[in-house]
Parts: sequence; structure tokens; C-alpha cells
Amino acid sequence: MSNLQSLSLDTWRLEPEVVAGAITVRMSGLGDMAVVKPFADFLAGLKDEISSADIQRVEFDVRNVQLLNSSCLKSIFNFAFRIKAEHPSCQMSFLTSASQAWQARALGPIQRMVREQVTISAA
Amino acid sequence: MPSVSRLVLDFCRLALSDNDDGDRYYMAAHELAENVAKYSTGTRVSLDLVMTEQDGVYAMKIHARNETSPEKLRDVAERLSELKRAPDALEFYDRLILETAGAEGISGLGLARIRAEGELEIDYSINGSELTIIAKGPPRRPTAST
Repeated sequence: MSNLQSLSLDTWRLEPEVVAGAITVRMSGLGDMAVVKPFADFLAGLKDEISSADIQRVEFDVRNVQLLNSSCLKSIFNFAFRIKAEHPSCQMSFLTSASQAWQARALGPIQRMVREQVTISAA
Repeated sequence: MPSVSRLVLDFCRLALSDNDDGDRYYMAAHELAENVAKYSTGTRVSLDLVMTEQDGVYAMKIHARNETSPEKLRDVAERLSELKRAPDALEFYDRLILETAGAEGISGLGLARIRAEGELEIDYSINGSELTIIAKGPPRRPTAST
């Protein structure tokens, strides 16, 4: 039984789904200064879930995200660094929109820095 | 803030023929707007977006102005000076991400992100307690009016 809960704010939504050792998080809306803290808290819970449920794969579907400010990005970077340190076999993938090239550019640093565990694709 | 973001995005997409160019300036304007909101100690703040043209060369300029304390001015001037001097914007951004990893709260990455990811020049000026940060650069593709 997963402890992960959806997060629904005025302009920001996170919908996790846990299926057979993998978690998909569908993200949508504006990742601005109003959502930094709840987003960081969500990622902390996600990291706990990965630890307790032996999750081997996490996918973030960011195709419907319209903005990620640097604080939200930093939370994603820190999440990836923690997974790299504590769960080196867990793969992280980011599904971006082919028509929103900024999404892959914004996430580029983690692909450069956590190369073995992070993939970024566009659809 | 979402309504300001929407206005900025609409302006960028109106002035530019390429949505991806619009997204670059939108990201930069949003980072600067949040900087103004977070660090301002006075009531006079502004964010201006101007599309300029000189001899057929277009450039978008974003000016963010706010008043802040002498301590914050010194701190931001030091960081902006270091950012401007860095020969490789991407390497500087990646190094900053690693150096600040683990620290929650304020990211400290926004200005470096504008230069590295947005591929925009960063400049600044200080007049008394007023700080102006300028992000500028040409669109990658011709504007809608060319």
C-alpha cells in the first residue's frame, strides 16, 4: 500500500501512480514560488516510498508543465542526487513534450550529472 | 504571480515568431520577477520587457528593478560579478547546482540559469539602494515582424 498522495493546488498538480515496482508521477501546471515547499515535501515522500517499497523505476511525465522555476528545479536535482547516493539501481526518466523544448533544456543538468540513472525523452 | 507570468508569456509569443524563443525569455522574466519579489525591501519594483531593433538586429531586454538592503546588494553584486566573469555559462551553472545541492529554500540558481539555459547576457547596475538586473539577447529565429 503506497503512502504517496496526489497534490492538487490552484495551479499545480502531481498525480503519482505505483504499479509493480515502478512509480509514475504526472505533473502539470505552473511550478512557481507558490508551490516550492509542497513540491519539495512531495519529493521527500517519493524518496521515502522508493526506499520502503524497493522501487526500481520512477517516471516523471512533465509534458503538461508550463513552468519550472529554479527552486522547483533544484528540488528535482536534489531528489536525483539523493536517489543516486542511496539507490544506485533506481532509474529515473523524464517524459517531456516535443513541442516544449524548454522542458528538456531545464532538466539537462541532471542528465549531465546523474548520467547513469537519468534519461530524458520527448513525445 | 501566475497572471504576471501569463502576461509575460503572451508578450513574448506576440513579439517572437518562435514559441521556443518566447519560452526562453519567459523563463528569464519569471526568474527575475521572483528575484524582485524575494529580495526587495522597498515598495518600488518594476519589470520591463522591451524588444529593440538596431540595423535589423533584434534583441529582447528584460529589466528588473528593486530596492534592497546594503547587505543584500553586496551579496548579489558579488554573485552577479562572478556570473558575468565565468567563461563557460553551462559549466558555471552545473558547478553552482553541485555547490548548493542539499540546501533547501531559496535556490540561488536563477541568474545562472538565465545565462546558461536561456543563453542570455546578464548585466546589472546599482544606484543607491536600487538594483537593476538586465537579461538580454537576440532571438534564435527572426521575429514575427521581419
